[in-house]
Amino acid sequence: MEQILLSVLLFLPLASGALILFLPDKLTPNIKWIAVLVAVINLLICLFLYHSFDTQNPDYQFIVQKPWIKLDLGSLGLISIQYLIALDGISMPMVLLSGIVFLAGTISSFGIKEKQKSYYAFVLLLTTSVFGCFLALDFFLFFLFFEFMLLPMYFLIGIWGGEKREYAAMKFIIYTLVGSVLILIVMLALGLSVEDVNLSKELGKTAFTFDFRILADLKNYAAGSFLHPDNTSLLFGWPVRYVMFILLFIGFGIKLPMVPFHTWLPDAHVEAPTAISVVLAGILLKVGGYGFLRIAVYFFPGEAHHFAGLIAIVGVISILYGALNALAQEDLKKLVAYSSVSHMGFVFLGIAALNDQGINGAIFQMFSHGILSSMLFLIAGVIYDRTHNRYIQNYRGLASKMPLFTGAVVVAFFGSLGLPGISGFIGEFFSLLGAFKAPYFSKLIPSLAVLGIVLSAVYLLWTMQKMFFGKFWVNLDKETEMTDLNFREQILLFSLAFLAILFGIFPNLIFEISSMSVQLLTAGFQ
Amino acid sequence: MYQNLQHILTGTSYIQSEILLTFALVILIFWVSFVKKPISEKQSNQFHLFGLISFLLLITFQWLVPTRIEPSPIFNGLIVFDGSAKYAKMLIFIAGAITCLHLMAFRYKFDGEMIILLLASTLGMCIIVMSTHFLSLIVAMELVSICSYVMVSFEKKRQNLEAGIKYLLFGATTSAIMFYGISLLYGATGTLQFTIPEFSAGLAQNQPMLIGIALLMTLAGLLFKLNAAPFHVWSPDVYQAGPTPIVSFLSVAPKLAALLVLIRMREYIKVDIILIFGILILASILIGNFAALWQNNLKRLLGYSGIAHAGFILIGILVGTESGIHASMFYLSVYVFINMGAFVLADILKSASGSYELDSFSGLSKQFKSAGIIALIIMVALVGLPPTSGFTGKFLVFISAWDVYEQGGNSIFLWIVGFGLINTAISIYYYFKLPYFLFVKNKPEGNDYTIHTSWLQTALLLVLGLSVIYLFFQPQFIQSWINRLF
Repeated sequence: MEQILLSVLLFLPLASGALILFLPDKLTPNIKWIAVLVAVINLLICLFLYHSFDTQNPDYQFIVQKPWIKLDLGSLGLISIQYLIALDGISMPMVLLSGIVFLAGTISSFGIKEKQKSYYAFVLLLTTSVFGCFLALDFFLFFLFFEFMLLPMYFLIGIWGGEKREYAAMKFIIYTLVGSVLILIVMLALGLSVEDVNLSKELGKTAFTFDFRILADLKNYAAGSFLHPDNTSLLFGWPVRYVMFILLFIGFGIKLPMVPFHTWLPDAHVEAPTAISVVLAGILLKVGGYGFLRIAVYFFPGEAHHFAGLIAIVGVISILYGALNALAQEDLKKLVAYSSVSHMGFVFLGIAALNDQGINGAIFQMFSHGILSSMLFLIAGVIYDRTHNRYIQNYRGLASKMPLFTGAVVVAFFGSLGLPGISGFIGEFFSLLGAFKAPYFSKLIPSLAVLGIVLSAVYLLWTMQKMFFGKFWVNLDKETEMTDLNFREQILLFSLAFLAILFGIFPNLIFEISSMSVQLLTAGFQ
Repeated sequence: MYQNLQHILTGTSYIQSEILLTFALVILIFWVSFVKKPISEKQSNQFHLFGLISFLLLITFQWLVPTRIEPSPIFNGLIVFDGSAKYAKMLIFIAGAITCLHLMAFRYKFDGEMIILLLASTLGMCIIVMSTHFLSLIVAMELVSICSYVMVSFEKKRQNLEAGIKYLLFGATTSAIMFYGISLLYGATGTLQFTIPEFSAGLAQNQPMLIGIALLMTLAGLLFKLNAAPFHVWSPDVYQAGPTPIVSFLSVAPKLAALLVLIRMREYIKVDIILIFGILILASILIGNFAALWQNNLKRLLGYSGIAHAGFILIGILVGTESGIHASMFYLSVYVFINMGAFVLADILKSASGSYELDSFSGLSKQFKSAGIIALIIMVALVGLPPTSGFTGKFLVFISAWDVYEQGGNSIFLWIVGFGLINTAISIYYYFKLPYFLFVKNKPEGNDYTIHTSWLQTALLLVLGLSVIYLFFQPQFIQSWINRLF
């Protein structure tokens, strides 16, 4: 049952996206309901999977495995690519988050009035590729979905975006493609390193595999093979596996994003329509964090250990640099974008700790940031929808006119700055806890990260004070347009706020799922 | 005497498809000479249909040749018929058939001479893919070249003639360089047959410097046909001005022919020209990609993209292992479908907008969804992203290069993998210009496109576009052929 549902999760959005494209024009007003229906079904499936997930089992569950493509390499053998999807404690929270964020994204898309058909088709395509990334257990399959995310995103930003959308879309696609090219290099190197022994016997010739489970076990690398841990050959003066790890680090880091490869993010966010910002911040950035954990740390544990300090430093730089930039922004959406850079830094910091608290914290941070950043972008969207202006200095005293809105903003802002009781606190707290316990780098690094929390309190509270308190005033005489949340916005923001508080009070809802798998991973580092 | 006759007779049985081709050529020449000019559209369509039928016959004929073929040198070692020749010929015939369909679908009004030239150049390519001797190679290459010069300038418009003259001058120069190189090689080795041990032994005995230069000069002609740097200069003009179906044919078929000669030669060249050849490959990729960034004409853009792709195709040859050669062949095989699809697409878009300029396609996909989707597929395939066979081709080529590097090979392979992949990321900028104008840009106010496509145009575009995706999921379809025949 669960196995079938995993495939449904992948192919239902794809099929309905194709269906939408070929619907007759007169049904266009109903398309959004199809998209919402698909998102609801997907969320229900995610909840069902979450419910039937065995929390005591650290291994992959609900495995679906089918041979798929066989690439013949002549005398070298062949590469067997499988349709291999499954869930474990690390991907399950991400899949659940995708279900939530895509539903929120679809509902917040109702404002889109142009070319609705292609818009929803692209959103559904994006859904498939994101779920594919989190479910895939074959490197090739993962890469396929990872690359495939580019296309719908390019068009969603490029067609439905703001003024400089073309520039932002191109920047997004080139940055991300460079990242995936780096990942592809690692894939080339891994491709001929690990043999699927059973399959080789069956086919009578060497069958190389991209199976995550086989790749993650260092014993499976043939002695003397290029990526064997004992290989001493150098690449540009560095040990081979170090170079591979760094390539993955940068490749996924671009997606995460880490400073200094983050510059595509503010542009993409500012130009993207609200719904796409929600999806981009809510879930696409997590693909970077998830991929880094799943591929770089799992396949290269020794190197992760060696570079833990570097990862932590990059994480802290992202935290501080993102926060300082956010301080300087006048555009609310840009501020939120930089705060994303800052908060995603905690993911790297947590992973760098390489202990239970750190990695669990990083996973929780991703989950929580998915919900909170969705809220933040929805908030920016609410204001933009009313006045088509996002500059902070144009608003004052909104609280008196928009009490419901202010309530949601309070939850989102305080959640983001790490108020205990809301989910943001747990993620940051555990990432920091892990980082303080980690022996690989100086305590100074996590201490600086704490400074990042202070900075985020500064820019968020400052913004709140400027925009929401004081005497009500809106620039350009647009006071009358500042109506409170409508029904759709209320549903969106309040249910996300509810989730943020729910997971803040019961963090075990996620930790229960993730801890066994994380234990299995960190056991190798003790 | 009798033995010689016997040898020729047995040889003849191996070149039946060439004989068939010549036969078709003769019939067509007679037919064309008795048709009164100017010809009507119907007559011109009949000529194209004749071409199509000949190519389809040739494909079936070639298909029926048994798959397990022992390489059989014929005509005293002038040519050889083996599995790789069979495979390359099949693909060339398929390219020819697609060209004829393209001519028919868009109602090009060419005289029968065009088909004569097309068949004659195909004949030349058939001999090139079989040749093991510099003499047969030169004769066949000149046959192809001369036909191509005329085909490009067939329309006798100003820019066609200009492109034709450029093509001719450049082609003649590279031929001259090649002949000179061959004469040096002959002097060094004492043989003109390049697939015998004496040839490689002769190469080994001489100054490596001299041999290196002579080899590179010899390669000039092949690189010219492959459209690779530094002999690529003609291609953007020719691509832009030439009749689209013909350019489409010339963008893939001569590449196939030249690649096969390279594969044959590769085995017997033991001289180390890896470094300089690798630099040529890098130069092709860089020049092609960077010049393409500024193009605004779809056909010209495809010309530059062809230069870059030639570089990628050559990587497998440089690697030289079995898997490398298979990878190159696979890359080129899927490239046939991708690139010919791109040219059909160019013509379809032009029929709606009236021009090949990219900005004239602004917002076209709104009215013409199917073309927009296929355009996206083909451009994604040209970049080399999954899920298209363009990705599989690049993946195989790079993995073969990586494997050689891993086994302790020259570090140039590492540079090629790195540069090649980074260039893939750069190339998305210009390949995505087309989807950008089709999808993202809005069409100018009050400017409606008139779209009338025939079923043949749509079918051709769909088949080519979908084959690109099909071959990603079923690479065995081509790979099993390559494995059996090479």
